[in-house]
Amino acid sequence: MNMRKWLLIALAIVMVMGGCAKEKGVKQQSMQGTNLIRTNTDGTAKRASIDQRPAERAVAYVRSRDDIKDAVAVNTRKKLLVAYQIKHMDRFYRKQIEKEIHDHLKRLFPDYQIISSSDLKIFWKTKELVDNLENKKWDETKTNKQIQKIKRLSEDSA
Amino acid sequence: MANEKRKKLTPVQQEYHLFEKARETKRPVVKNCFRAFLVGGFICMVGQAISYFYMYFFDFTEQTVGNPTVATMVFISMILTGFGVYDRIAQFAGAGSAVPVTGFGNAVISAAIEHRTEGFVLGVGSNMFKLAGSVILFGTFAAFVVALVKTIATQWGGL
Repeated sequence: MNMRKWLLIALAIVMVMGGCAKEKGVKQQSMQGTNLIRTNTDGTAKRASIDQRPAERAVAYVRSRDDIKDAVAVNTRKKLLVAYQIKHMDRFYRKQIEKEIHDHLKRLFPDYQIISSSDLKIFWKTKELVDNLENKKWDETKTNKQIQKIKRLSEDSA
Repeated sequence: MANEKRKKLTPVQQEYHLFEKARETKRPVVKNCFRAFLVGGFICMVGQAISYFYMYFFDFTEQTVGNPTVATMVFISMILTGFGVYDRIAQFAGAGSAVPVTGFGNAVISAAIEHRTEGFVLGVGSNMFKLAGSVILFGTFAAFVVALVKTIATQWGGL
């Protein structure tokens, strides 16, 4: 019985500590040289062969919102893929936030086909794509193909 | 016991009722709630880990990951029930282990085990969903009512 009590107390402490711990942002500074694989925290591929300025603008807008935790974006000549994470308590308004962001991006980039999602899987996939653009120098066709794949994934419903 | 019901009792019965009330063991409600919270939370944490696993290694999104996660959780609880582990967890946690979807797997398998001696068809077959049947029935019915309310609200309420 005593053992159990201790176990319960220990469990409670671990949960409280774990719950109150604040995650540190994953920020690594590369010391030197471009040969090192950079993990960037900008959310866009700065050194990609395709011009990523629209993606940068989109990320800047999405990140400026209060209800967004993080955002990543990729663009090709015709498509703009934006993935973001909504803050935990704001997830109650998920649909509304998604619609607002999608509409605003459409207004900002009328020439692009906008694909936006708040899904975590899409976020991971987009981040992977950003890394590939940055470090493996993916070209337009390859990127477009991957974006199409992600788009199909984002349209899946339960 | 409700007050109106108690008034109908004979004096002897009322006396017995008071006698019994003074002597029955008190239920440790707060302690039970705490245990249920911890174990229920732990089960949900496992479920979250499984859904992240499916999302990370397979092509499931947050929208679609629910189905395989639920299936896996029910499967795990069925295996644990078969080995007699889930019963112990349930004894400790109470509602914490019965309310999550794992409780459903436990309800199905424990009924199957209980009626195994009566044969496979009339024993296991007819008694397997003895407990889980009500879950399915009222789950479906509740879903129907909610869908009805939503339809009415969106069609005529203009929500």
